[in-house]
Amino acid sequence: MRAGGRQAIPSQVCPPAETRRERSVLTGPAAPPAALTADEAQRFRALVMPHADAAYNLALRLCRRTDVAEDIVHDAWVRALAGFVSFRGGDAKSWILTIVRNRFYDWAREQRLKGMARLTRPANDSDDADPDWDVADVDQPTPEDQMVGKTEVGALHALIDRLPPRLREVIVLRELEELSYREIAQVTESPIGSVMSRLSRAREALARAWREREAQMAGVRP
Amino acid sequence: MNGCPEWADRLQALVDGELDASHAMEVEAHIAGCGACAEARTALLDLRAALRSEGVRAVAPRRLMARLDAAVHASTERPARRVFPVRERAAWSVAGAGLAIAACAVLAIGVAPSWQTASLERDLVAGHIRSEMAQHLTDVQTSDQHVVKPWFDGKVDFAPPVIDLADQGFPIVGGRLDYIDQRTVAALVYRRGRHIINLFVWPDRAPIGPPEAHPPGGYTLVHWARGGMTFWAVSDVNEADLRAFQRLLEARMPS
Repeated sequence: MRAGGRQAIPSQVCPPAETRRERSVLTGPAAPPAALTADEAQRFRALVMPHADAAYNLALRLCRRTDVAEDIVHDAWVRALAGFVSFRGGDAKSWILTIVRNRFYDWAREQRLKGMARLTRPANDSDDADPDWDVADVDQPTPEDQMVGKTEVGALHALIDRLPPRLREVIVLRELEELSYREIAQVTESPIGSVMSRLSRAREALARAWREREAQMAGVRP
Repeated sequence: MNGCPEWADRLQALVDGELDASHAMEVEAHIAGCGACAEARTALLDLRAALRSEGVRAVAPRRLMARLDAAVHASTERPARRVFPVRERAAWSVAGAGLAIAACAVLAIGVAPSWQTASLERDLVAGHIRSEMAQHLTDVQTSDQHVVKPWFDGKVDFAPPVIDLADQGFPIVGGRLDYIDQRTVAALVYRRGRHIINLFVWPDRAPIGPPEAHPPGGYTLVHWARGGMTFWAVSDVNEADLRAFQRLLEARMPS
């Protein structure tokens, strides 16, 4: 069943067959590995490695699949290493999260080109719609009643994951990664005004969904 | 979140800590007199508390950390620094690239054993430092060697000797898997007072050079081989203690 044992991932976490790849679910030319000196490598470890959790958290909330999230982060690391010599200080967290985010959108675009994206809505790239390149969340079919019975953490993940990606990313960057408006603007390559308005809409949607869940929970257990 | 629409942006900015003191006071003053906006703020803070509760933010799996580590390792230039001072490297840019590559290849062969040891030691010290970060010290946490030993079954394809030295002042506190020199190895964790000793173990018969006199970061490394296994003890205890640790372990190992 396992493809010749070539995959380093233990069998119990092997992704479903249709998603399994030889090395990475990301295709396209990866940047050639640039040799860093030992000092630069040490600097990279000190500056960038501490943000691995942030990178994974963002990637996972964007793509909503653990195997893809790991590949996105790994790929971002390879790119970051290749471009590290040109990184002239500044905020390493914003820098690596920008790369992670770009890798996610690259991956999403590849999915669309491969025709694998399930079109959930008509083509529309506005903030509040799932754009046609966003991949349907196969794990969360999202009827409201599925919220009931989930653990609180599971329900929160499901609520975030139901937001359109442009709103999803700002809420993750602000509330989970605690980035400032300016940093979020930098990572998402958007004006600060857009960041604030997306943040506000994301919060409104989350608060409303949360209230609905609470109401349903109360209905289930009167 | 149905506060006054004209205050909504400023209210959000207040909650996000984006307002300077004078604007913050202005918004606070409004909230003090506006029940709807006070409620809207409470809603924002409740949502934040829910989103920041334990477990919502994902943590990079250890498997991913090992991949990231390997990526950094793979793009680190290995032989150069010790062999070629920077001045000479600059001179290369003038010389042909082909010549440089050829020279590099020849010299790299010559110095291979020494840089291999150095990069291995960097790996070991990095593993030790990682282990001191929160939640990475042990996968199986116990002072009972009989629990640690079977834990490795099926996780590594060898059986690391698990020996407790609590009676000698080196209690075992657990074990975990680590990733050294591009392979999965067993790491046994011991305590010496408030210091941690990581004992990395994997099967290897190849001879390895002696540890560097001054390993990176001021850590002490002691290496030995026995019964087809290679052992590296890494710690910030002094070398005499680490040597004593080695002797005590070796005395209790099945011969």
